[in-house]
Amino acid sequence: MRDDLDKFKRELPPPYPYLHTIRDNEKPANARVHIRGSADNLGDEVPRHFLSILCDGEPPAFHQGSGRMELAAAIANPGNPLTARVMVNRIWQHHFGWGIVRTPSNFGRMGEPPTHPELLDYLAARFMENGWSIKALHREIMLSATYALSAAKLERNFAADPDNRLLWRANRRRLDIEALRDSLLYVSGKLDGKVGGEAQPIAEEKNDRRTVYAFVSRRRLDPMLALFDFPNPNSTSDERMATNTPLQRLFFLNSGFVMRQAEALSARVAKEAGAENAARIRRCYRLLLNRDPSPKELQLGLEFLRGGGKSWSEYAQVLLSANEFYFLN
Amino acid sequence: MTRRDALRTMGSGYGMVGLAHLLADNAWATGSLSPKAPHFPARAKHIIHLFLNGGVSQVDTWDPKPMLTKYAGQPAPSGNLQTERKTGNLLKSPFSFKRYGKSGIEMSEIFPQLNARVDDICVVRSLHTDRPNHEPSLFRMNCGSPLPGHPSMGSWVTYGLGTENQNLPGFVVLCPGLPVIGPQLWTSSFLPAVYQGTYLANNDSDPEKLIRHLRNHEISLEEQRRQLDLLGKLNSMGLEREGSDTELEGSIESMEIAYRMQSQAMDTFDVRNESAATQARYGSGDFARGCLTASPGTIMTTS
Repeated sequence: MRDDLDKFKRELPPPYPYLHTIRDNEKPANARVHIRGSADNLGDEVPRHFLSILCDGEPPAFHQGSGRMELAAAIANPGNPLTARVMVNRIWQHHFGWGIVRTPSNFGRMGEPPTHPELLDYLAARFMENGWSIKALHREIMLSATYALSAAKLERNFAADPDNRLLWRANRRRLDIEALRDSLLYVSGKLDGKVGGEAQPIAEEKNDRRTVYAFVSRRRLDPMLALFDFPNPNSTSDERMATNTPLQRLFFLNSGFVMRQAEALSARVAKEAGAENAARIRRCYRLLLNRDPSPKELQLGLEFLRGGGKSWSEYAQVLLSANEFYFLN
Repeated sequence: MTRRDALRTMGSGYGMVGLAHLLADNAWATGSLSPKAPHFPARAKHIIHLFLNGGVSQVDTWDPKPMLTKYAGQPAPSGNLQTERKTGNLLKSPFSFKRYGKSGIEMSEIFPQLNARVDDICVVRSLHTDRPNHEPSLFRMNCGSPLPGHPSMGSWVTYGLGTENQNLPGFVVLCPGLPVIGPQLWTSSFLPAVYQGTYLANNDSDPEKLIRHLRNHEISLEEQRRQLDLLGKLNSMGLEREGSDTELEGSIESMEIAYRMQSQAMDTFDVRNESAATQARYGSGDFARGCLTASPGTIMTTS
């Protein structure tokens, strides 16, 4: 019987792509209040309607099917700016490191008030005007003068506002694991930019695809993702932590992944910049840091490379481990 | 700050303890992990914080409840308690308590070995919480506030006292798998990043498996030192351009610790180096191994 089972398993057609969706119950019923959240302690039956705490007076009951559609319409109602505010705050947070409201899941009395309330309202209104287009919102934020600021420090500003609540500079940020792994693969010339397809474990050595296609196991999170603060996939997460620990530095010192990228990078610049070490170093700086090396940096590089042997990939590994590559200024 | 505010902050733990010093001293020179003299002479050498999320109840261990025994099997005399589920009758501890040692501290029969050592133990029974829920309580116990955004106790201790061992992280978290909430329980929050806990999933006894990427089998330590010297120079030139920054400085310091860890961690985290007798005394399993690892040094939190 086992043999039959194996045979049938082998003959299975490849799995087709599928998506879980939700469908309305044909005969939806009202639920009773769960007193203190307990399913064993039931109160009165309540007609399905919008949250009364957010309405003036008692809101009217829903009528279409389960009421999901009416609930969605009430949440995304232009008269309810909270939804748009929360969404634009999340997108702002993604670009700046901190939201305009620094407690992204709490806009209530226990949360922090917005640092720029008018800006939050302006963006929320624009977001709705543009048909809730996330792309248009990204564009508007990224074309702003504030987005273009560098992380350079001005002592006078720092003394007045060390937390940068007034956005006088960019917040310096460590790359998240997706950007970090993609950047390492990109500069080594190995990044596979193919769009779409099935998720694949990033622990596989031959996997050079973008990290967004990483296979994420809820039960056993990939160690590289976990090391760089990928959130727990079993629950929702409103912001990404960015820790900075010796274990992460060990990854740069010793991991097979970083060593492979270092080797590929040194082979790449040898091919692209010719035999001269100085030209190869310049190529490295342009690729990794988007600038030319200073005379001192060039000199340090040349001195290091005199060590011979595997010096080139070791030098490439140093540049890949540098703060300037790891942090977004 | 009013007197009431001050009391409340102290009541919820570590809140403001080091803040005055933090505000006075914003020059984060390298060596921020070097040992610092405490305000009061220290009698303790190490702190090992065993945080037993979901551990045994206090009423079965160190906190006898005579009234619970008296009213066992009856409804609570205070009236119906508002709890998550329907409240039943009171349940007394199935274990008996006795006074032990010179101190006469009452302890339950479930720890026969520990009972003989009671005079070395300080039992705190005044702990009280206003949070009935797990996550805020985890924050309260580890970071002193029920809301996220405060440094953990380990970060405060490392910040205030430094560490005598410069070859390993000063604040290590041992936990097989991530606990509820995760890294926010050992965050340095608004303290410099170098004070955050280093998390190790201690499901394995081999240091090379316990700490990933602990060794480089292709590049020698001498050659690596040459790499790190160059990296240090490049990073400090970056720091000169950018101005002092705790993230950049934390990253530089983390790299030096990582380099030194390679040799030191092989010894410290290898509990197989302990004698068979010692290993037998601790027992087997992740928790026992965590305790054995924690004893030789540094500050550790086992969640």
